[in-house]
Parts: sequence; structure tokens; C-alpha cells
Amino acid sequence: MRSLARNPSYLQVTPLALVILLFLLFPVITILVVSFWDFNAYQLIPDFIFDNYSFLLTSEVTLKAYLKTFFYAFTTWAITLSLGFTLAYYLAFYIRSPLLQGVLFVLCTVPFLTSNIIRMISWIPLLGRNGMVNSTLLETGLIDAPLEWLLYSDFAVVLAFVHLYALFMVVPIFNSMMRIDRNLIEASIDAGASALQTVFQVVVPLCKSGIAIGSIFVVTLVMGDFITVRLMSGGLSASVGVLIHNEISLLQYPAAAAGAVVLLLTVMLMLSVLFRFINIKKEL
Amino acid sequence: MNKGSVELVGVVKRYGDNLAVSEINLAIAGGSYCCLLGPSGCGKSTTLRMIAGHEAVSEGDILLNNRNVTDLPPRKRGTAMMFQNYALFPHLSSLDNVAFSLKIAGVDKARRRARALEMLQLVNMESYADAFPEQLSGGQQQRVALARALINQPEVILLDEPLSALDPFLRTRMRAELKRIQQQLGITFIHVTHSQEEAFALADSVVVMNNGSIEQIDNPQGIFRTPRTAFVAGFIGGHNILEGRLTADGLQISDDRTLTLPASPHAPANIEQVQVSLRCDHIRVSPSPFDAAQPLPLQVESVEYQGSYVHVRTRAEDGLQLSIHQPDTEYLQAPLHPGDQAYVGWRPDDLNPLQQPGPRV
Amino acid sequence: MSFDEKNDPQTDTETPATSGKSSGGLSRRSLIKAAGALGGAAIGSGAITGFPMIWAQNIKNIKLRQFGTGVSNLNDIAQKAKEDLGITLELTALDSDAVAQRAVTQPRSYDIADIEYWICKKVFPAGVMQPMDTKRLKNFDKISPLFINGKLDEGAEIAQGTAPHTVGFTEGKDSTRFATEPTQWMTLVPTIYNADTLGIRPDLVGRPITHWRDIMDPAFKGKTSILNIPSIGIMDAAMICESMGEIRYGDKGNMTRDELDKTIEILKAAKAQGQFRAFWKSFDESVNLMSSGEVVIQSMWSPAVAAVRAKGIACKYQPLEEGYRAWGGGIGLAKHLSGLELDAAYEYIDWYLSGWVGAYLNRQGYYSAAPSTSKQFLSADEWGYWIEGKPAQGNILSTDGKIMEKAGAVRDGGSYWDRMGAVACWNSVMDENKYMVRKWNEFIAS
Repeated sequence: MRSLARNPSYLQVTPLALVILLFLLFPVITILVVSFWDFNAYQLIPDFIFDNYSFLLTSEVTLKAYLKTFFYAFTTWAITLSLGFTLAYYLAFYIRSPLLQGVLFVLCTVPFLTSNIIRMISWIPLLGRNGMVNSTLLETGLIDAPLEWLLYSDFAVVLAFVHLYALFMVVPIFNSMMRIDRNLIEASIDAGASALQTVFQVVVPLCKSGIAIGSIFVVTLVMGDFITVRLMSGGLSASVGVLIHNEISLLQYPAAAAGAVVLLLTVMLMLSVLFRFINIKKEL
Repeated sequence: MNKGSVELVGVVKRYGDNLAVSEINLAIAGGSYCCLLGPSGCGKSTTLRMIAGHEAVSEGDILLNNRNVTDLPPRKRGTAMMFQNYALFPHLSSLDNVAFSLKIAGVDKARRRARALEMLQLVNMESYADAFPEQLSGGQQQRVALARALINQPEVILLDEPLSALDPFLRTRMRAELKRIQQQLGITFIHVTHSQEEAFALADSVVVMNNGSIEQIDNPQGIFRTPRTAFVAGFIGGHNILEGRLTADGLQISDDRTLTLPASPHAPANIEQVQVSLRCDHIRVSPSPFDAAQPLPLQVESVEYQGSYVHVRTRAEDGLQLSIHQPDTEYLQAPLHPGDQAYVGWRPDDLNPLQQPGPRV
Repeated sequence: MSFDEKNDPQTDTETPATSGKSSGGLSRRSLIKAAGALGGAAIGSGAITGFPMIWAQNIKNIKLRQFGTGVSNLNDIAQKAKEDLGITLELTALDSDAVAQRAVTQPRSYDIADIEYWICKKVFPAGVMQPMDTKRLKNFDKISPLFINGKLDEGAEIAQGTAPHTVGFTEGKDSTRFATEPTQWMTLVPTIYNADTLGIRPDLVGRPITHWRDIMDPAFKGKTSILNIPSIGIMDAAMICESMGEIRYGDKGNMTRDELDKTIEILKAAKAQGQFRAFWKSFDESVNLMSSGEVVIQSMWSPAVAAVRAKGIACKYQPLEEGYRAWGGGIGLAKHLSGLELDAAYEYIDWYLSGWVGAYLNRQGYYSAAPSTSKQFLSADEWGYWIEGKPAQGNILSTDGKIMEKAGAVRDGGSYWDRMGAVACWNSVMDENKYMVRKWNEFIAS
């Protein structure tokens, strides 16, 4: 009590500490604890066994699922980054009027006012064997037979991911770009840099934190996803999230928990690498 | 003309229907220090940016060393710009900032760094080569920015309000530094400022701008001693502007007061609304009448002690208002107080006729 | 136990009038209230049975929370229950995985669980539910023998998998162990059940489909689908593999590791060759796959076939030589139910068996637990079409009055006895469930 009275700053951090404890630490610890439990078809059996992990870490399925998930994460990341950067660059540097800038920016976010499931599902009639894309291509004579890889394929999964998460890349990069002193661009041109040189020598380094934040969003969202992969691959591909979801469906919580712990560690490892490149605090 | 001469011929800048710079003609001698002086929005920065090539010219031509550079990109002009707030790249060290243009030009790392270090030495910043901009003070950033501007051996350096971000003490020091470097390198400096003090301290020639036009081009003494327009006199300060009717006797301010004008062979008479300027420090003021004093005394409204002089504001019943800078020795001999009667006087030559404001576009 | 059994005949003979007297000066209402408050299992579950009139008034204020997959989707049933009984049913519909989870992990969040029998096999041993006293169900003896002894008629063969009767009874009132013979304590009263097979697009398959193995026909490469709910998908896979002659199973509902390995190998090979267009997990996915023409033959559920047909697209629920994969669900009581609410739940469940609901479900293409009671609520033509497999005389209407089948139509697969008598396997949960899920994941990830 006395130490509290002497140092009221402890009191001030209490609400935040409680929130973190309750909504972050407690669930994570629960997952960690459960991941060591045993289970059968009916119930969870409190225990301390390593079976869940030993299976997970030796299974070829895990490796395949991780490779697939990394593939999705990397492809989605690369595409959303180039797309998001270009879009943000156009908005930040080519649109002069702040009003138009605001309007276009809001326009970018409009699709995000709908449910992401809806946004995903709406691709299906478009990309199907008899979908609009295929029928248009057939009519114009560009193809003779419907393109099967448009739907229920990795292409469809990545397409949906890009559609879902591009904004998460645009917003932080746009934010970073808006903070760049316009004089820096002129200073670069003054130094003889071409537009492309300016982008890579000045704009990109100064957007690094925005790019990193966007990357964190996109990578973590894709790494943890199960619904997009399931719907767009037609259940033909399994990401780490799909595996965990399957286990949860069958009440195999300990196995799912072990999967979640490994996924959490993987994502945290990826993030810590990212954080090495940037000072995130500067951006917030 | 010397190397580094700049000439603007009928240069116009429009933003849509807005005229930012209206047909200015300006010749700046090579190797001189030129200040563009004026209030914000007068077009001085736009003019500078047009010279730099960061702003397209709507009409007219810009010549550097008698070469038309109007349509050339910045780097091809032989100019270098030093931006307001310096625009140092936050992600690069001082050394890399200075070396940036060499990197763009493809100079190898060792050579460009050696060259950049030389530049930093010129501005006494070599010991901060590895520091990043955010670790530097305003003055230090400014030196680095200057070094960056100098590295390509430009013939003309363009400085946009280079001292405005500094505190007054540093401003004075950096001012001297700029002048030293300019003289040492013998290249043209074009410096945009809204401080007449800065312009007077630095410039070989001062260009006073207002509303997108040039009001006056002269050396600092010329500007201060004989401002050409009421705007210039008002902007540089230290002047009273008197307005009246030009008659055979002089400038009639009111029914009771006509001021004698310096003898002029062809002064037209009977012109309404003539303006003259009168320097505040050329007015003698005294509680009692004296030889050259105006017959009617004025009333003292306020007295402010300023150190080397005392600022006395006076007003007459006929509306004449005069600001007077009285030397403090005189003031101490016979101090004036608000409400006192004060007699004022000056030599007729001190009245500087001003040109009528020209028709504005 | 013995206490209840002793009391039951006695209380059964009581009439409302004698009850009123015996309670002396107490009003009926306050008696019931007191009984409810005391929560005495003896009075609550036994003594009141004799006079439904009284609590028919009291249960008007009762709200029962029912959650589950099948009947919990049907608001019409809740409305009718409100009309007939005065009970307010609060329905929550979830998919079967979520139901199983919630049944086990949040036992206090529901009063009545609407679950499938294979889920029941998982949920009941967790001790979150209580068995029902069959003596309190007036319509108990009307329940189809399929749910009592597993045989639709004498001499029928009991199908593989989690046949409902194997998890239909517990050993005692407080037991969580399933009884091998029918007892007085029933786990679930069946609600919906059906026999599943493959759905096909007769207009696109271009040949007769007669066997489960036809889904593996190279002619349908990239145009087939099976469902991706491991516990059900594996059974369809087993039906297919057995039909192909690749594997003979001891019990398709309870495979050995070796059988699982072989089954998954066959599936993986087919997947690698691009045999499957997609795997579906939800009802609407299966409907879309079929109606869009992405798929021409797939495992399917009966209402999904109806939904495709409702779009005007030909779709057939194809009976196959090897028989059907059947599933069934029922409603059961949550452990925490007691007193008046328990009484209301019993009344509700008994009402369920009394015919109206059965007829309603029949009209949707499902079967009802007590066919004889639902017959009274069906027209002869409806009974003929849905149950007896006869050609429809007039148009067959759905529950909301739309035309489902035109006159002359015959139900795919024929009569109730043809279909439910040809069940090869019931949906189930295996002893090697954990291993099965791992193998299934391996298949999906391959």
C-alpha cells in the first residue's frame, strides 16, 4: 500500500495491465496449458504430455501445410505490397487536392464495409467453370475450353487474399507517404534523381515503417486464415489455420492448441525479424 | 556577365486563373548575393522555384549564363537548391545526405564519400558525418544542407528561407557563415527571405517583391535610403509615409500644414495623393521649438525605450502621425512623456518622394 | 431409482381433483411453485405426470433454449409448440461441429440439445445431459423400432456405424454409459433422420449411376466433390472404396488404422489426379457446386438436392446398390434441467412425437421418429409419395405451400422401407477418431 501511494504510476498502468492480462495473457496461457493435455473423442483429459507436439512437429502434413501457408503469405504479401504501394503512391503524390485525396481514399475502403465472407463468395460465380470470366473469354474466342484454375485453386485463394487485405497495405503506406516532406522529393530531383530513383532512394526507405506495418497485417492475417483458403480452394488445400480448424471441429482442442502455439511462435518469429528492420514506435 | 549570372525575362507564373508571378524581369550578376525580399505570398518563393526548375514557367524565359534553361530539369541547370527546413533525407547520415547526388550520378562509394567529407569540412561539420538529421540541431542541419547543395559545384545556389527555422542568435551567426562561404566560392546565391534585416546584412542586391511583381531592385543602402514605393518603405520599416496634395509650395498635408519638398527641377504641381517617405531616425524631436522645427507641435502618444534609440509616436490634430527614433542621448537630456507637446523637424532633403502604386494586373 | 419406480404407478392414478384435495388449502399454483422451488426430483419428475392440465397453464411462462443442427432450424416448429403448449422455444441453429463443441463446453447455455446420434456418442459420456424417462413419454411405443433395436423389421440386418439404438439408452438414470439393450432411460428422442447417397446431375453425367464407385470414374475428372466434414466424409470415402473393391471394412463406422491408411491413400491418389473439383463443408456450398455445374456427381444431403431442383435444375438423389449412409438426430435434455422446466421439456418432447412435427418433417423429405402418428397429419397422397414411394397423384407441396414435385413424380429411392431398410452405415464417431482426423488432414493438405 505504501509503495503504491509512493509510486502512483503503478496504479495508472493497472487498467491496461488488467486488460492485457485478461484478454491476452490469460487466453494464451490457457491455450499453452491445454496444448499439453490429452484428449479422446469425448473429452479433454488434463495431463502433461508432449504427444500433441511430437505428432505436430514430426508430421509431414504440418510441413506441407506450413509450406502452403508460407506460399500464400509470401505471394499475397508481394502482390499486396506492389499493389498497395502503387495505389498509395498515386494517392499521396499524384492527387494534389486534399479533398479528392480524401474521397478516393474513402472509396478504397468502401468494399471493406461489407462482410469479408460476402466479398469472398462473390468471386465464386465470377470465376466458376461457367462463370462470367470464363463465359466472356469463351465468347470472345480467347479460349476454347473454360479455365479450370480460376476457381478452387491457389490462384483463387491468392486472389481473394489480395482482394481482402490490399487495403491493410494501402492505409499504413499511404499514412507514411503523407508524412514525407514534399521538399524531400524535390531535393531528390534537385540532386538529379529520376522519378524511379526518387521512389527507391527516398520514398521507399521513408515508407519502410508503413510497409512493415502493412506487411505485419497481411502476413499475420494470411498466416492465421482458414476460411478464405477453405472457400476459395474448395477445400482442396490446407493451410495451418485449416488444420487447426479441422481439429477444433472434432473437439480435439489439445491438438488444435498445440497447432496454435506453434503457429503463434512462427508468426512471432516472423514479426521479430520484421521489427529488426524498422522502428515501429516512430510510426504510431 | 560573370559566371553564374541569372536572368529572368518576362517570367509569368499562373495557377489556373491565379497569377502568382506577373511578368517579372530580373538580372542577377554572377557571383553576387541576391535576396528576394517580400511578405509571404508575394511570389518570391515561386520565382526561386522557377529558377531551380521545380516549378514550370507559364510564360517568359529563364537564362543562366545566357543559356536558356527554361525547360531543363533542375539538375541540368547548374543550380542547387537549399530547401526551407533543409529537406535532409531522414534515413541517411549527414555524409550520405551530402553524397546523395553523387550516388544518383553513379559515383563509387569511396569517391563520393571523400568528396562529401570535403564539403562537410567546408561547413565545419566533418565531425558529424555519421549523425542522422534528427540528431542534429537546426544550425547543424542547415550546414549539412548547404554542403549538400554545394557538392555538385553549382554556379547558382538557391536558398528558400534558409534561416527562418533558427533562433535569432543562431540566425545571425549562420548569416555570417553564408556570406563567408558565398564569398569564398564566388558563386551566385539567390536567397529568399521575408526579413529585411537578413536581406540588408547579406545582399549585394535586394529584390523587393509584392503581389507577384518586383517593387524595387537595389543594393541595401539604396533600398533603405530611397525606397521607391510606399510598399517598400512600409515593408522595410523605419519609415513614415506621408500623403498629401502636391502644390507649388510643397506637399500639403492639411489646411494648416504644407511640407517643403526638396528642390526638383520638374516637379509637377497640383497632383492629388502624393506620397513621400521620411525616415524615423531623420526626424528631430524636442519638447521645445527649435530652428528647423515645424511650426505646429504634435502630441506625444507613446514613448518606448529601445536601447540605442527611443521610439516616440506622435500625432497632430490635423491627422499627421509620425514615428520618431530619437537617439537615447537626446532623450535623456530632455525626456518626452506621453501627452507632452513635441516639436519636430527635418531637412527637406529627407523627404523621399514615392512612386504611385502602378496599376495592378 | 427404486423410489421413482415405486411412486410412479401411484401418482399415475391420481387425478387433478384428488390432487387438489390432498394439497389442502394450498392452491394448485402455489403447490407447483413450491415443488418447482424445492426442485425435488421425485415430485418434479414423477408426481406431476398425472395431471397435464395444471401445468399446461404453468408452462406457458416457460422458455426453453434449444440449440442444434436439424430441427432447431425450423421456426415453424417453435411457433406450433407455442400454439399447442404455450412453451416458448428459443432456437439457435449451428453447424454440427459447433453443436458438438457447445454441447460439451457450455452445458448451461441450453436446455434442450438437438444433436445427431454420433455427436451424442461424444457428448453424453461427458456428463452434460440427462437421460429421459421413457415412462413419461406417452408416445414412446410409437417410435420406429430403428431407434429401439436397430431393425426396421424382423430379420433386418443392423447397419454399421453409430446406429442410433446403440447410443439410444443409458444403463440408468444417472449413468453416462450406453446400454446394450433398451432400458427405461433414453438419451435422445429421434427427430430427423434420413438416408444419404450421391447427388447427380442427370443431364450432365451422361450415363446411369448405380454405384458409389462411379464418383471415381475418370469421365468425371474435375467434376466431383465429397464433403469435407471428416467424420462424415470418411464414411462416404469408405462407401466408395468398398464399392471399388479396394477395401473390405470390418465396420465402416469404426475403422482400423490400417483401413484408414488405405482409404486415405486412395483419396489422395484421386485428388492428385484431379478427380475432385472441390470439397464442400456447408449446405449452400454443395448446392452451389451442383447448380453451377462445377460438379456433376457428389455426396449430398437431401434438402440440398431439393434446393437445386427448386432452381429448376435437374438433380437426382441417386439410390446406389451398396446402400445408403444414414444419419439421425434427436433431442435430449440438459443435465441442469429440473422442476417445472423439466416438466415442460418432457411435455414438449412428447408433443414432438405426437404427429404434427413428424408430418411437417416428412414434407421436407425427412423421416419422422414415429411414422404412425405423423400419418394422421398427412394426406393420403402425401403419405403415398413421401413414405410409400408411390407416384404422386397431385402436386406435392412443401411446408410453405410451394410446389415441390409435380403429379406423377416418384421419390428418389422409393419408400421409407426401401430407403431406411438399405442403410449400409450410420454416421459415426470412431475409436480411432484422433488418428482419422490426422489422416483426413493429410488428405486435405496433400
